[in-house]
Amino acid sequence: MLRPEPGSYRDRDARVFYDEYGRVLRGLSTHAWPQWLLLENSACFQRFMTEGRVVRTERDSEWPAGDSEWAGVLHHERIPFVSYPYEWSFGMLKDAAQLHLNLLTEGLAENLTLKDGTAYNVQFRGVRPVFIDVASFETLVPDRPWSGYRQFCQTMLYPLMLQAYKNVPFHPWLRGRLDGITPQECWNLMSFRDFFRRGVRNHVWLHAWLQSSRSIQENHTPQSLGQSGFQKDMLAANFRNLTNVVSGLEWAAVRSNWSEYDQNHNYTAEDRTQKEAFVRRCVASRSWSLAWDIGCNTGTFSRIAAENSQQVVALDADHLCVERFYQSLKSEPTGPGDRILPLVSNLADQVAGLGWRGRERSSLLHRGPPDLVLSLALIHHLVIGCGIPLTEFMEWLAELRSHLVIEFVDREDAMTSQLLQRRGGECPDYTRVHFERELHRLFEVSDTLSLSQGLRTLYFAGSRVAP
Amino acid sequence: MDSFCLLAYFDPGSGSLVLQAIVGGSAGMLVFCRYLISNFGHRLRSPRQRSTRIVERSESL
Repeated sequence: MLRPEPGSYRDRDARVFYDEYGRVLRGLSTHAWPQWLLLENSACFQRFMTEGRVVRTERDSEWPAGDSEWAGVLHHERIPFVSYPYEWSFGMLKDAAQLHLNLLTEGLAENLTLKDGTAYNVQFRGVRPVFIDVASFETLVPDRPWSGYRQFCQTMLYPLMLQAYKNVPFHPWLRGRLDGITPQECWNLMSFRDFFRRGVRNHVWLHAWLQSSRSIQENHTPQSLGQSGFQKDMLAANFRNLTNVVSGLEWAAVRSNWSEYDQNHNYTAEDRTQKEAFVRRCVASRSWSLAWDIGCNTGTFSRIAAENSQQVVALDADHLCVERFYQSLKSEPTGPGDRILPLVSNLADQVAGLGWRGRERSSLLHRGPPDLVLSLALIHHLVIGCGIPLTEFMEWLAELRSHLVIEFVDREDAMTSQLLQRRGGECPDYTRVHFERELHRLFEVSDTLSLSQGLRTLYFAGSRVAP
Repeated sequence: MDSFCLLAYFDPGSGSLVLQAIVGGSAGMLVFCRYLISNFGHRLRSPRQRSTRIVERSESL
């Protein structure tokens, strides 16, 4: 029984689907199959796969030929956890853009190009970006411009520019429209000063002007450009220019609400050591296939979870925290960077299914439920700070049907008191008695640890909700 | 119609394509000027001449 991937329907020549064993397959049409045969034998494609820049792909020899609607089928390596550009940090999106440009530049030498340029063609294996749309590679027509340029600008270049030049988070923009930010919208957000910043004049202002110019709205532009003398050198110059622009984009954020939490928390050194030991003990109790660290901050406990988990997804609503965690993992060649995927995600404002039929891009839960969840010093922020009823939060956790390590912070704790003061001292449901009642109703608790003279308590529990 | 447009499953954007000539250095600017001239000439032709030319192009592919 084959299950089509809901996000792979646009390209009629190539479609991704899953078989009953969960293998990722891609059917290629009679038009796309010869392109694959050329690609398969090209030196650069083999190098891209060996270096891990392109998803490992091979022909599926078990696929029966004959009546199939496909000329051939490919078998892709499975990416541990699918993520989307509206969940990535600035550095992740920048690395995805640079990966695109590297593939384009190196492919040019062997007359290969990519037929599209969307950020959704990249996934992350831990903190390493990997290009997944193998069917996007095609033979270069030397006198034609790159058809994926507009997609590249809309889903990668403009979001990066907004973050770097304007300190405007790109996540709501990418989440709001899967096609990204149009040239005109990006230009509308720029000021006079921005006109002189690197890349804005050509890739934003001129791009917006040309896109709206009626004098060039015609359907044979590529052919006309070819007849006017467009050459491969110009493609190379454009890729060089884009590479320089993207490399120069830096997000200069210094601090955010939670970026200094690791230094400013109110644990004693002894409490901190005990907390780490408790979490390590829970993590070591068995091996986990997928762990979520919700509210990961700088990722200390995600690293502990990675000691006994095949994959850890580290979630935090604070973009700067995720960016720093991503960069620190990237800087450690022998660290757990291949098993930890940091993502920007606000649990109080979760992304549901997006795109066509609401299935093109799945919600977090649909991409792989965890078997272990770490929720450390988070519950008071969601219940008091975001106004989510404590019972609802606990029920959501139970519906994950996973094991849980949760930390409850009492109302008397200094940070919780501050939160309560901001809310006028309300939140009557946020009490230890109520929390423990809900915890025991929904979970089976197997271990606890009291910290900070009893103001913080850790629990290790398994969900009672039937799988 | 051009096979390039037929095979693309999304709109690459005419302006986005033309811009790549402009960004492609001084030779690219020359291409852009030639493109504008040919485009201007194309617009001056009668609609009947234009449609005939497009049919000729399609047949030549």
